[in-house]
Order: sequence, then structure tokens, then C-alpha cells
Amino acid sequence: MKGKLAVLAAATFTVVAVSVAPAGAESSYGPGNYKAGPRNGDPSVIVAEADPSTGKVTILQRNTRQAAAVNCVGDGPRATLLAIHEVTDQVSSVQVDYIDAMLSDNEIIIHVLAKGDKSGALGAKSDFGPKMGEKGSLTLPFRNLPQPGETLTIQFGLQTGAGCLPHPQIGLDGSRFVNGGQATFTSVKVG
Amino acid sequence: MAEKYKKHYPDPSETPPIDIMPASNGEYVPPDPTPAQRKIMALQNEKIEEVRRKFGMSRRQFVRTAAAYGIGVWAIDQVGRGKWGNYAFAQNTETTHACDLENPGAQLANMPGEFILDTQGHVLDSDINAKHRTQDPGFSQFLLLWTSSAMGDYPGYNEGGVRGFGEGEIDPIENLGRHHYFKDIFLDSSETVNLLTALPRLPDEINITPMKFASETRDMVNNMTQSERCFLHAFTQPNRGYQGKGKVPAYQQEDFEWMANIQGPRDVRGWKLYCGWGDPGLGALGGEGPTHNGWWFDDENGMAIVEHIRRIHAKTNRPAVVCTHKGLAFNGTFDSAKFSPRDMGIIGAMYPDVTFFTYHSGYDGEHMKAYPGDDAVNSSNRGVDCFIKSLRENALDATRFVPNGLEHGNSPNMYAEIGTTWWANMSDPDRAAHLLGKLITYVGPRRIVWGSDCIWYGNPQPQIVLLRAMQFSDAAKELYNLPYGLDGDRWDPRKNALDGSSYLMPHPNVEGWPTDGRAHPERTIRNGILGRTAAEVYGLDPDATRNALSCDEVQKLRDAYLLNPGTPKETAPLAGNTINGPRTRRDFWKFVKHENVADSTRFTRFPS
Repeated sequence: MKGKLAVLAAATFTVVAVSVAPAGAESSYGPGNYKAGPRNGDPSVIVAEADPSTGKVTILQRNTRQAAAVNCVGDGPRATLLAIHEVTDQVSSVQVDYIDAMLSDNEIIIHVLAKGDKSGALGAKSDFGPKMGEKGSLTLPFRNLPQPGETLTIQFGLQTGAGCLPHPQIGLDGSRFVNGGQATFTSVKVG
Repeated sequence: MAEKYKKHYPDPSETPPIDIMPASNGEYVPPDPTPAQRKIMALQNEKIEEVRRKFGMSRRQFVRTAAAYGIGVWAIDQVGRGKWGNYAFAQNTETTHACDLENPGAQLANMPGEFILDTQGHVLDSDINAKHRTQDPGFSQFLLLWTSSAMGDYPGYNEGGVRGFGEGEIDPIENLGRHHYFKDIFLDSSETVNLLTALPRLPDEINITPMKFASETRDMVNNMTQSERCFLHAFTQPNRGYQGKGKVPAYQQEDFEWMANIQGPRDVRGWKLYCGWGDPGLGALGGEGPTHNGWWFDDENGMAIVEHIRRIHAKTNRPAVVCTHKGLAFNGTFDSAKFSPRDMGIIGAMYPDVTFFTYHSGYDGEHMKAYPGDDAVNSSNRGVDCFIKSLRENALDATRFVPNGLEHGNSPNMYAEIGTTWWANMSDPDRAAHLLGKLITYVGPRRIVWGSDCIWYGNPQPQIVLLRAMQFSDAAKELYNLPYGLDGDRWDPRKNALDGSSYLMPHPNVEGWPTDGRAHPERTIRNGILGRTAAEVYGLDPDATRNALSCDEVQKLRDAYLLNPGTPKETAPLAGNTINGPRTRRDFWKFVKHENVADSTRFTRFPS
């Protein structure tokens, strides 16, 4: 009897714990659930694509912009995906997983940002190149806790700034003539 | 003898004081002048000729007067006044005739409420034996090119005489040394205080502005003025001896110790960083050249140095003020990608107890327009919009900090500095209005600080005159919710700081609101930008300092230096008044080929 009571108590505790502590609840999104996000780039950009059905994001640019003495104006490539999450439970962070990340240079970054339709921006975080076929994950703790009823938008993808040719007179290194990256985003977990 | 003397030191130029034609520092072909630029210079030329005859002055004399500055402002306004911005002093006069423009804003005396703190002054150690010249010739070569905007010519020997650079110095770096720094900043302009900021390279002894030289310069200025007219930043970096990703740079510990051991709590009021400053040392062994190993604030080196600055602050009370170059790519010399302001929002949000100044506000030569919205901006680029986007991604932009009952907020610990950014946009009032309007909106009316980036641009007075004159159009006032433009009170920009009726009763949402029924020009957004906002951060009392300055030695020198002070004929006869770099494609190629080198006035003068 004592043992049955213990089992019953444990089961009850578990049920109660699950029902009153939804903070641990996690929602996961993957390819097929994603939506296309903003993408940008000037005519030097060869590719800036994000495929919501596969989670594959690719950016590539030719850096033929000519630097002036001081300035190097341009719009480098950015391609992003979105995961939309309706907040029902308390959530405090998002984890974005990726595989097959090939990033040619340090300045090619995996960039994740989150915002709520009521809370506004919740933060941003980056992971840097170079990467050679690596997998990994990027966890972004929210700066504010979004409230139930909000819609969260998790934006993730690849971006880099405009690269430019080496300086014609000084002759030191500029950007590589071509740089870019590719990664496949396998899951987005909000929890 | 006199003839020979003149060959070495040509007569001062007859160029108008506000010269908005293209200029190159000798490193690139200057762009063709736009029709608007040509028209502005033609208008100035016409008016200068007309007015100088009325004044009975030679052109060379007249272009150094306040009236000539006023004509420049007027001409820009006539041509460039657009939908968003325009320049005052060209309006509301008895007639629209340029001669009626008394232009008090063009004169060296400070305007009501004005305290000008230039947060970006530069000077180089011009000693021929300075270590940066003997031990770092590559960087010196870069300097030689970059600073040629203040030089104008290569040295040499021609037509029986030695010739110097633009201001007559045989040694090009001397044009950027203490003498010209003091003259350009403290005699030829209205600046009250100059923050002598730092330039890259450790160890310090081979820096182009090493601490010892900077301290001596500061002491020279302050001793001459018997007041505090100059204070310092120190350069530092976390990546010297870069060894590759995930490894602590070889000299990081040594450089951190140097930072901690700089003597004197008032010697360094802030740390100057260049994320794009790579290191050719061990980094080169890893296959990454000198320009490819800069750092981000949100990588391990960036966070390490901010943590270290906080530790120094906790231990010595040295201000935790981080000033960093963002924008202006200097491609080929720096790791330009790391000059993206993408990381400013991230690091600012991570360390709310540290004050960050984003130098140049991330500007990199883009066409200035209204912020296009978050989805249109890639924060990894360089540009003012990228800086704003970075703050917005991290909930650090001013719109997140609007107090109850007000309509404008301020980023808690992020400041926008506008050195070169203002210089590059001031000739177009529309671009200038968007620059300031969006910074006020997204960084805050109490978060913008002025820097001139002089001595690179010579005398900063044209920049000051145009900021004094800047006006928002009705459309810009509506777009940026600034009913009084830059004359709005910077604690509540919906109130006119120049109207005493704004200060008749306490403000329900602003503590310490004046209730004396008088105008408070010291509270305008404009005067905040010009110096009062930075004074708060650096702990200066603008009024006390200014009062002390009114009888200091510099003021005496300035008084003696001016003729007809306080009148339209006020003139500084020795003002440099020139941009010496190549002004046209033809000039540029002459410059590159070292042709026609005898005459330092050989570059096309506009109007020609």
C-alpha cells in the first residue's frame, strides 16, 4: 500500500509538474515550417537565396566594387528564413541548429534575431566563419520575456557586408574576389 | 629675395571658405562635380566678387571674412534647399541680397548657449625620428597618401627652389603636427574644447600619436590657455599577435597590462578602438594577412577587452568609455568588414554599465536618406542605417526608451559620433536633415556628439558654421516629430528651447525643467550635438569651462588674431582656407605622375 501510494504520489507530482511548469515546453520548427525572410544585395551579389522547404541558405558575392580612399559603399548579400511562433507558454530563448556550414571568411556570419509583435526586438546573436562543413547550434537568450498571445518571429540565415577590391595604389589585401557561404538550418527550437 | 620667398610660400588662396567641390586626398580619382556643386560655387563666386567690391577688399582678404562664410551658406541654400532641409542665415533678412546676411553664425565667437566640444581631433607626431616613421614605414606610406588632403604636393626641387606641401611645410607630416593642430583648431575655429583622440597601433611607442606625444600636446595647449582645452583618448586593441581563431593573441596580456598601468586617472578619458585594425605579426603565419584579422565586439577578443576596461574602471575609476571607429572602410589598409556596426547593439546591450561612442555613426559614403525599415537593412554592411539596425535588433534603440508622457527617447549607453559623416553630408541640406533626423529618432536627442575629424580637413569652422545654420523643413519636422527642428529642447524636443514661453511652468515629465520664462539656448538639440551632450559624459561643466576660457591666453590670441570681430567684416587673415588635394581627374593624374610639381597652387581652384 505504501508503495502504491508512493507511485501515485509520484505520478500526481509529475502530472502537476507538467501542467504548472510549461516553461520547459519547447516548440520545434524545421524545413517545411519555415517561411522566406528578407533578402538583400546589390548587383555584385551572385546568390542570396533561402529555401524554406529545405532550410538551405546560400549567399555569394563577387567583390568587384572599387574602394575609394575612405569609403567602400555597397550592399552585401543577406538571405534569411523565418520561424513564426505563437507564444502560449513562457519562453526565454531560441536555439537554431545548422549543418553543412561552409563559410569562406570570418565576416560571413550566421545571424539569428528574434522579435515579438508586442515586445519588439528580443535580441540578436551571430556565429562567425570560416567554417568548413561544420554543424552547430546558436542559442539566443531573449532580453525580455514575451507574453502569451504574442507572435514571435525568429529570423535566421546568412549575411555579410559589401566587400571591395584591394586598393589600387596601396596594393594591400582587400576582400577576396569572391566570398560567401552556405548552411542548412535543420531546426529552430523555442523554449 | 622676396621673389624666392614667394615661390616657397605661395600667397593664400582665393578659394571661398566653404568649398564643396570634389576633393581627393591623392589616393583616388575625384568624382566629377555635380551640376549642383558647380552652381553653388558659381553663385558664391558671383556674390563674393560683388560684395568684396562693396567692402573695398581684395578677393584674397574677403574670402577670409565671416561674410564670405555667410555667402557660402547662402549659396548652398539657394541651390540645395530641398524637401527636407535648408540653411538659415540665408533667410529672414531685410532683403534676400547676400550682402544683407550678417551671419552671426559664421563668426568665431560662440553663439548663445554654445559650448563646442569636438570629440574627434587628430594630430600626428611629426618628429622626423618618431618611431612610427622609422619602424613602420608601410603605415607611414599610407599616412603620406591619406593625409595628402592636407599636403597637396610631394616635396622636391624645382625652378631653383625647394618646394613644400600645401601649407608650406617641406616635411609632409609636419602639416599635421602640433603647430597646425593648434592653429586650425584653436585659432581658426570656434571650438571650445578638443578631444585629442587616438589612432591605431600598439605598442604605443610606434603609434602615430603615441601617449607621450599626445600628453605633451595636451599639456602645451592647456598650459598656454591656463584652462582645460584639450583632453585625451588612448588607443588599444585586443588582437595584437593574432594567432588564429580560438587562441589568445600573443600580446593581449602585455597590452592589457599596459592599459592598466597608464598613470594618472585624468590622462585617459576613454579608450579608442579600431575593430578593423589587424595585426601583421603572428597572424600572417596563419595564412591571414594583416587586414584580415580584425575583430568583432561579440567575439572572444572583443568581449575580453570590454571586460578588461570594466575591470580597470572598477580598480582605478578610469571611465569605462569605449570609442570605436565604425563605418569608413579604408579598404586595403584595414579589415573593412569589421568596421560594420553590426556588433554595436549586441555589445551595448551586453554591457549596460559601459558607455559606447560609435564613431562616424557607421557611415561609409552611402547616400543619406530616411531609415528604410528593418527588413531593408543588412546590419553587416557599413552605413548609418546599419548602425541603427544593430541597435534595433538588440532593443537598444531610442524608441525603446521613451519615458512616459514624452515622445522621444535615448539609447541608454550608446552615442552616435558624426566626425566626417557631417563633413560629407553637410553640403546637401536634405542629406544632412535625414542624417540628424534619424539619429535623433533612433539613438536619441541627447546621444549625438559632434566630431570634426580635423586636422584631416584642416580648419573645422565650415563644419561648425553649417551645423549652426542647419534647419529642418516642415516635412522633415513632421517625419521626425521635431516641430522645432534642432532648436527643440533636447529633453523634450516638442518644446522650443529658444522661446521663453516653453519655460513658464514645470514639465510634468522632465525633472529640473526651467521655469524662469526665458529662452534656454543651452538646451537645444543643436547645442547638445555641438558639445553639451559629450560634456555630460566626459564630466565637463560647459559653463564653468567656457567662462574660464573667456580670459585665457587662447582667447587673447584669438582676439588679436581677428580683425573687425563681431561684424560681417570679421576676418582671420591667416586662415588656411584651402583644400589642397587634387580636385579633378587631370589634377589627380598629375599628382600621381609627380608632374608640374613646382607650384603648390597648381590644383584647380574653384571657381576657376
